[in-house]
Amino acid sequence: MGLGAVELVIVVSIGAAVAMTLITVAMLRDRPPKPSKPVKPQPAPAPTLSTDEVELLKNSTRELYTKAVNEAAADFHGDLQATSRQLNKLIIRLTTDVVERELEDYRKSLAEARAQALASLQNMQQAVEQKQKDLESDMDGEMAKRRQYLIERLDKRLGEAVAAYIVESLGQGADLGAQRAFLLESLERHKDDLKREIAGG
Amino acid sequence: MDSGLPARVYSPDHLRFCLEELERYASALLRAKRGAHGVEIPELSRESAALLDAGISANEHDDPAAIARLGQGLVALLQSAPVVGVVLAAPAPMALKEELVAWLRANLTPTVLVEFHVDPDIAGGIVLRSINTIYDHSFRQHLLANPERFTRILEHV
Repeated sequence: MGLGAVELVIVVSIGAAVAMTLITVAMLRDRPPKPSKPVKPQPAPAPTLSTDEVELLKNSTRELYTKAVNEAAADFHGDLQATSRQLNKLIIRLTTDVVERELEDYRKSLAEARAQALASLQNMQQAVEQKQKDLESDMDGEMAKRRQYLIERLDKRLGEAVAAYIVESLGQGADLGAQRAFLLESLERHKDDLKREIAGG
Repeated sequence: MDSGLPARVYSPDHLRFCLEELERYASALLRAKRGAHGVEIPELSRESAALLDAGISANEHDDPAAIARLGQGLVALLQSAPVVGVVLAAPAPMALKEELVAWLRANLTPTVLVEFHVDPDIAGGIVLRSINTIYDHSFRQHLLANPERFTRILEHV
């Protein structure tokens, strides 16, 4: 209820009280004597009030006015309090709803962000693990290749060392007689190839 | 050369040497037959004598014309005969050379010529060089072809 409406209620109440008072006073004062016989109604003369009556009327009106104002103020105070309480409740409810909704949205956003972060983290972790596996595999392969290369190199060097040692040791003292069977076997192994080549010219 | 080259004559160099020797021999015989004085008939090497034995009959050994024909045949042979190179780690004794040459002539072609070389670096075994191919059966090649065998053997020592 607005302030203008409250004032209107007060003015109307006061107006009504004043009117009622005037009517009552006029009725008490100007009560015509009981007609003995029907007379033709004459227009009433304009009422006149004495100073005491006016003063009484003023006091009475003031009291009524004060009383009406007090009652209206009390009603208004009560209404205002009730309205305030309702407004407070409404505001609290609205605020609570808004806050809850916002919080819910926030929670959802937070959950989505968390899920996205987790998914991103998992993807990253998977990528890192895959990369690690690839690197390990590559490294294992490279290590195996390197190891094989070193073994082959070592074997080759050892073979060369042994060959050099044998050559150095034997010089031209190799016993070809002892190799006779091996020499003939070597010839036999390539007999067909040699024949084919010589026949082909 | 009906009966084939003697095993003792196995290389192109041998053949060239024998050709020169037989040429000098035939020339001396011819001059002696013509009555020239002081002609000394040279002694033939064992290789040339073997060629004479293998190339012409015994009653033609003092016939310059027959020896000349033999020489012409040998020149043709020298130009056409296939040559196989044999590399050994040490100088081979004649018996082994003859055995190897005999095997080659028996199994490949009777006119094949063989050049023997010595290369101590092969350590042992044999390296054959034919027209376009090298067959390496040297000890060095065997050692280097399977170097891991030596390591494996070392592991069990």
